[in-house]
Amino acid sequence: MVRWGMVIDLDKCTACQACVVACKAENNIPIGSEAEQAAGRQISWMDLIVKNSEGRVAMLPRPCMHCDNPPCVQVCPVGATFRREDGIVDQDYNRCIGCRLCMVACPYGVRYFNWREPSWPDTYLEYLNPTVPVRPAGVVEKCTFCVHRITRLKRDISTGNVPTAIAKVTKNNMSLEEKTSKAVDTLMRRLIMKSDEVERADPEDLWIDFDFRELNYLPSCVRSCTGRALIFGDLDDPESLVSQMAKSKRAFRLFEELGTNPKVIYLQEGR
Amino acid sequence: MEVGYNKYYNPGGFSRIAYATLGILIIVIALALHAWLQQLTQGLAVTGLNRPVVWGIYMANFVFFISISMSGTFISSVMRLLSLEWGKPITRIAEVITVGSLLMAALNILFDVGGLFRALIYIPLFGRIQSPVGWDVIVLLFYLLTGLGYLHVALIPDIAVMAGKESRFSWLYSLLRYDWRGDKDQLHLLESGLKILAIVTVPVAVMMHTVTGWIFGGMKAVSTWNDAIMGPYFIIGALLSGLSLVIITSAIIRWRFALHEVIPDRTFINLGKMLLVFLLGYLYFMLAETFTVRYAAVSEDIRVSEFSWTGPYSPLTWYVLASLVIASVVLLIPRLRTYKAVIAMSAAVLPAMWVKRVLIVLPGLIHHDSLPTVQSALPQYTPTYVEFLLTAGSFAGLALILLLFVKLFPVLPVWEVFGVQKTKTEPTTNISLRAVLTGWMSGILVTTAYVAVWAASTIIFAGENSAVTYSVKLAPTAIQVLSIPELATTAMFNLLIIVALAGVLAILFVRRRG
Repeated sequence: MVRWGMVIDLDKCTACQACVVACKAENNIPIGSEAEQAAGRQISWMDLIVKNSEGRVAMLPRPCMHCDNPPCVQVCPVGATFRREDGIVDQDYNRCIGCRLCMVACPYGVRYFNWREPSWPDTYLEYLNPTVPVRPAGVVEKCTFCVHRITRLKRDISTGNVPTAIAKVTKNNMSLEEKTSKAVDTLMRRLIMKSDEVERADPEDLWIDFDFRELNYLPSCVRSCTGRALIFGDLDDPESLVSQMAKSKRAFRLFEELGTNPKVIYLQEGR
Repeated sequence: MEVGYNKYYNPGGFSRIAYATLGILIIVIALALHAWLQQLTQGLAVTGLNRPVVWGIYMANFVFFISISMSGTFISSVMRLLSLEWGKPITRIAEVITVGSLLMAALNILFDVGGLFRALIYIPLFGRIQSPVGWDVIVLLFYLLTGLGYLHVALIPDIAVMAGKESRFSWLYSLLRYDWRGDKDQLHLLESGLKILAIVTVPVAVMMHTVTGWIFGGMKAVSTWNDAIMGPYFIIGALLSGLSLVIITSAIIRWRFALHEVIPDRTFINLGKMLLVFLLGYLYFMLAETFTVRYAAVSEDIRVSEFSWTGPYSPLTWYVLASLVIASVVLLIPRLRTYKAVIAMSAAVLPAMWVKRVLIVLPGLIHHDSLPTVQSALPQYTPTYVEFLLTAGSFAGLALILLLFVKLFPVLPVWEVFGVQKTKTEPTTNISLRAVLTGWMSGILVTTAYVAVWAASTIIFAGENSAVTYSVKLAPTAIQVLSIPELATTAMFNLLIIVALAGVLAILFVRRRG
């Protein structure tokens, strides 16, 4: 089984907020105003937690934790929010009745309510992402780990429309889930590859026909991270980059004591 | 004697005061409807709600209306089961308050949700038993059903007498009297039916308030909410606020209908003693709650507690405490416990209990943002005029229901207070009393069975994450699957609703042979 998760290496995070902006652009999040921000109605699926401790400020990127035991799914009266079989906690905007019980139940505050109808400047409208639904007023929304990108990768794998790098790691006896997991891991390793590593690589090797657009199969925040601090992948695959990094001694999770079992793992800053 | 109680069968026209009240209520309700329309068209942006304060006074109103619904059916069924004669005249007022306040509670939840029509359709269709809202909807419907049944059955003997009088509404009375004649067999049947309904009501009422408390008690993410005290706390709070509203309403009705002989001062003093017991109980629970938080001093909880005892919300907290303490002291001293004092103390307790509901909902939510981010705002909440208008509108709605009821039906259960009258006219319908009682009973039974099947099917077919497989989205790449277990449960719900409705209708309108 696939269990999508994320590792956030705080040593590499520069708090540049590229992930925040990339998420908003990718997921059609309405552009708010300053007044809206002051009123506490800004929507931002990806955000930076500000922790002020021992005289120094720590910044932690905060997507949805995609808990294995999500309190929000437990309390939803109509099943509008649900945990998919691959571990992603998703939201069905057509089903949501807007009671906001999930926002009360979530300890991480990652759920956002649409207080008004979404709106954009006219010049922006043609850049809206057609693969992500626009949410009407009165529904709750949240980070989906860019589930539409994963779905697109799955579709492309099943039609064989993928670069040879991915085709090489996916074998015929694998299930579609396993293939997707391997493909994401390949993309992830390519994404964090340093330039000298690329130069030293054998031209016969996997990366020769690699177009950078292929990296857009990865979640938007991961793709845009300037310090390559965000690592996405399958936590159930012991060989994947993300599950190897999650074994680090620096690893910790937010509010572990609440028993939500989050799938976003932070790596503590070195001192 | 004949003349003495005959006047209660003539609720009569509207006096000048009644007209003025009606006018004011209609104006307030019209303003509230306007505000609601504004909220429906512009979204919840017109309220003061935000993140993390996602619930505001709508939720406080909901809890308050639920709590005053405790008054009626529960108090009147306890009086029936314990055969308290002095309490009989006020039972009908209490029952109407129950039905009215439950309707207003449901309305306040509908003000609160983001998608009104989606909520109305999806909760019956896709309601999940795992959610506290699911339990609350079930138990609210249950309570409304038993409350309506109780009110309706107890009205039959009085309506039968009214059907024989000249009135604009005699068609309604002759329809609702069924085949009541007032003979001994029918009286026996009616009383045993009422007794069964009263027995059913008590556990339903207890669950109603417990489950409302559990909506808060089950939320581990909010400091001070996650507490085992919540269920019992809500029950005692409900008893307190419900009884104080019954006292105030009875006093107004006694004044307007000149019922000084039927509801003597003695009744109010007895009710005052009951109120005192609930007051002391509530103060004890407040102490228990505050002690646990302050002594254990968990840093998150203590922040909330300090916010409400010494911080910005301290005036509200101290106002509640002062009202409750003053009321208990006045009611505790026998010399002060007069008719007027009981009324005054109830009038002091009721608004304090509403403020207490606000204090349950808000301070916890204001401290809910435990991981403040770059883009989160300073947590604050200021209700807007839309919220105040809708609050005023729901109180006016309850008052309107009460006003119309006392103008249509006898305000006292006359047959219980003065004895059953033989009707002068023959019944025009031949639906038997037995069929009516069977209808209510089977309605309750079918609902119980429905809920049981709902719960069982959720557990058997769907499990904890019942919505795993369906994701119907606008995105072209999303999966569109509705799994077979989900289809089966949904179909079963709908089938059961239809069968239940058909059963109730069949029993209600079954014709007696001959």
